[in-house]
Amino acid sequence: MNDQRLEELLRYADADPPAATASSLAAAVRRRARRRAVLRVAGPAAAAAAALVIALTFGHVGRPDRRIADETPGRPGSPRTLPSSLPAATVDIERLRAECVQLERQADLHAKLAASMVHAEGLAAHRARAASVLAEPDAGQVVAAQLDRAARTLVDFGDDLLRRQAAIDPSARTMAAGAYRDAAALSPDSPAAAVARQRLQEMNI
Amino acid sequence: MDEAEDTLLRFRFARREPQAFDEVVATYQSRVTRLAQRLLAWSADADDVVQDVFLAAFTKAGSFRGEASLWTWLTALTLNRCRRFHRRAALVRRVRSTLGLSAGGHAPAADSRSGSDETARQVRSAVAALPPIEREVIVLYYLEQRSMSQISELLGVSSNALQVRMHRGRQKLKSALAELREP
Repeated sequence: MNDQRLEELLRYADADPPAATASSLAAAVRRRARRRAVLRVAGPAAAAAAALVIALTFGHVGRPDRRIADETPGRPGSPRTLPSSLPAATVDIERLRAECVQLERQADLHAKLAASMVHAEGLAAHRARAASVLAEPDAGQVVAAQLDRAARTLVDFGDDLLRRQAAIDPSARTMAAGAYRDAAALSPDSPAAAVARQRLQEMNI
Repeated sequence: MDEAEDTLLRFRFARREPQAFDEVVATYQSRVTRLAQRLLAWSADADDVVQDVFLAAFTKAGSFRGEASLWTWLTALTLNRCRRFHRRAALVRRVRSTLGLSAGGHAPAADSRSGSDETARQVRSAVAALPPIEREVIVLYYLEQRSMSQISELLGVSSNALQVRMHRGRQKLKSALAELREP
């Protein structure tokens, strides 16, 4: 069997695969992600609660009852009789149930906190990316550079008028001053505008 | 979807826009499903893997920087999830055999042609019998039409190792399908 025949057979077997049945997959995926986030927080909390219940229950059973000792202060050497732990344990279980409910609430809060932290992280990353984009040369800087170039051209034009035409044309000096003023107004903060203002000062205008 | 739209979606997804994930699922679900079905030898378990793939995409969206194409990234995720599925299936088989239970195995796909088309069934069985690492290469090369260099990059293996896997997979398939030599 050659490779071509093998490829034909593979394509033939693959020609009509069973259709996918995952409807509203995105919603299902989101539900699973949420469940995972809750379990990630609630799991350790539940384990801690269980450990607490076990520790308190066994700790209580294994400890001598102090109330008996307090009731018989005059007989320090007398053997202590441990009462049945059943009534005390019942009371403790009620308290522990309340603690479990509180822990569950805390787990829910942690889950919400985790979700909001994930959201905040996403926002922070988005802002960081936006800041890096803004740090790059943007359209405003490009326009400023163009204006500076135009102002420099006007200054050069004024310089040329003064150098070549002022001696023969009386209006050349006025035109040059106009060019310098335009340059200074076009982009006041640019180096070319500073040069234009200097020229105007030199001309005593 | 043309290249520009795909690029835009890629960057929107990398920025974690909520709507972008739904669009990624809508755009790539069928391709991911198809790839998973092929990698799992047309098993019906592919749907579970597809959901795992998109769950991974949803939770790891922050690590996607938008440098590679979405399809390349999803292909890598699908390969990883299928490998994990194979490992778990092998573990379950070992546990079941240790406990003396009947072996589970792949759930066969509901194939509309399976009753009437013995050829397709034989080819699928032969592909299913390949070790996963050889099946990956065969599927990516013959069915996904990837070049050897792309496969090498996707699987993270050297060109030589890839050639060896391809040769072995090809030989096993040819041997298993010897009786189907001529149409």
